[in-house]
Amino acid sequence: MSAPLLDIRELTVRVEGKEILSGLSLEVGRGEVHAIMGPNGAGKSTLAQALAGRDGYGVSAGSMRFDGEDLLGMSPEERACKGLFLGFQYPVEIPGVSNMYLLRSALNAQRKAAGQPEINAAEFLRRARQEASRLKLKPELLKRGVNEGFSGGEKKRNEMLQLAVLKPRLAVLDETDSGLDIDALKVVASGIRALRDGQRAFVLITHYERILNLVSPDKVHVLAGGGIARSGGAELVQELEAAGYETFLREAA
Amino acid sequence: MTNRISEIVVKAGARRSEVVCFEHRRGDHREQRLRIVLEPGSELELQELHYGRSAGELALQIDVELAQGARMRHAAVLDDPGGGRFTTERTIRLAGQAELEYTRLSCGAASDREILHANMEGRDSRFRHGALLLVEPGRHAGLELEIAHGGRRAASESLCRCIVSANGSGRFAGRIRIDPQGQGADARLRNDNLLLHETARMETRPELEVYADEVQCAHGAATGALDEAALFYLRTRGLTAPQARAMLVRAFASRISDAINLADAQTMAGTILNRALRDDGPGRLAA
Repeated sequence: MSAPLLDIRELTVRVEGKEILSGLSLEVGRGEVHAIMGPNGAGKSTLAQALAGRDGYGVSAGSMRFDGEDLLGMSPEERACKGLFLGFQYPVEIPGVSNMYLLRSALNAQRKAAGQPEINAAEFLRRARQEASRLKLKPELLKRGVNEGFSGGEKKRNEMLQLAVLKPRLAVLDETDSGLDIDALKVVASGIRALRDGQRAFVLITHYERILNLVSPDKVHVLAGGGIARSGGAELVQELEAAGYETFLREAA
Repeated sequence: MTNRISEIVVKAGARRSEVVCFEHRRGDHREQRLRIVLEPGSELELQELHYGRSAGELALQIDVELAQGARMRHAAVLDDPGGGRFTTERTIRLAGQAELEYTRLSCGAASDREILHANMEGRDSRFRHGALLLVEPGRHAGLELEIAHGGRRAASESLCRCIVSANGSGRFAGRIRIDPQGQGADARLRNDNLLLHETARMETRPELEVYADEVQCAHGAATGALDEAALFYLRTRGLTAPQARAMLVRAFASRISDAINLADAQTMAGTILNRALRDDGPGRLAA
């Protein structure tokens, strides 16, 4: 059996002196879709930010390995170039940097790290427009500043566009489904399904059952008390919907 | 010391395009004066280019007069890696329905100080102003600005952006004055500053003086460092920290630099920005 794509062991993360994650362990295999659910403040976003390498999310114990390599010694850009993608819960607005310019710069940075030549401009345009159309992102938004003046739903679709163009090996999507109407949710879910190829893995951080009904995760985890309180299959989502997080919080306490 | 006086006069109804070059040589110490007159209904595209290496001082007086209905686009670019000291006193007079678009980029001077007085004495005159001051380590740049609305329904819009490196300093003192005759004025004044290092300093003072009743005015200023959240976002997409910083600084500059769209000035501005914001090593704006 091959080593997992993502292997987190006994991870402890402190933010502003407060321990948010306490000995969290998680394995994600190639091609798998994992869902992480949990109450507000449980540390779901902390896990996502720590995985991406954000300053201030200090790992004081444990390990994170990605395809056998230690993530802890890598900068955020090195992690990205290895194939780790973070879809932000609140994507930032960057006026003055066009969406297309960022997308192309990011793709070329990752290609350069992989020893590949820069993408042909025409090929890039074709690919970006095709993916934007698939995600029902208005063409004019490609020319605008990154997320500048975008609605909440458009920002999330834009994250999905970056995901579709960059084609990472592991995508951690932090509440990408939050704030989406039904149509937008279906678009995001179909974007994820389109990228499932048996190798690419996903970690979906979510509060809601509805996206999991559309994506069908292989495993569902409940994050509570700083660690994974319970793991199971899709049936765990039904249990959570029925009973809430109270039981898990008590168990974790 | 040398003194020179130049004049550009655009006859009524004529259209002209001019490039005025100021080459700064090492040890220069001089005063220069440029007078620009646009007669009624005339048009001028003016590129004012300052370049060279100077450790000297230049005092420049530029007087711009636009008669009734005249229109002018004016791009000024100053690049002096030699670190000269510059003082520019610029006076602008706009008659009725005259329109002026003036954008200036400066980089490199040990000290660059512009004192700008715009007098919008004509009815329905328009003035659009942009200034981008790139302050290299240990250097200084400043803009002192007064826009006086004396004519009815005059509209002005001024945006000054400063990017200040380590141990550098910037100063903005801007005032909009609406005189009692300036009813119906529409005036906007803004100063935004980006500090690239904790030792960078900026002093800003935007002011409004309103002596008329029916006006629309807005003024404001903001000073801060690069947005850490935006830097992290770009890095999670694969850009290195220097690439991400350069991209954000360039984006901040672009509101002004994009308005420099006359050919030679645009090329010069592009070269300055590329040198100042290299993403593969220390640029001129490095800490």
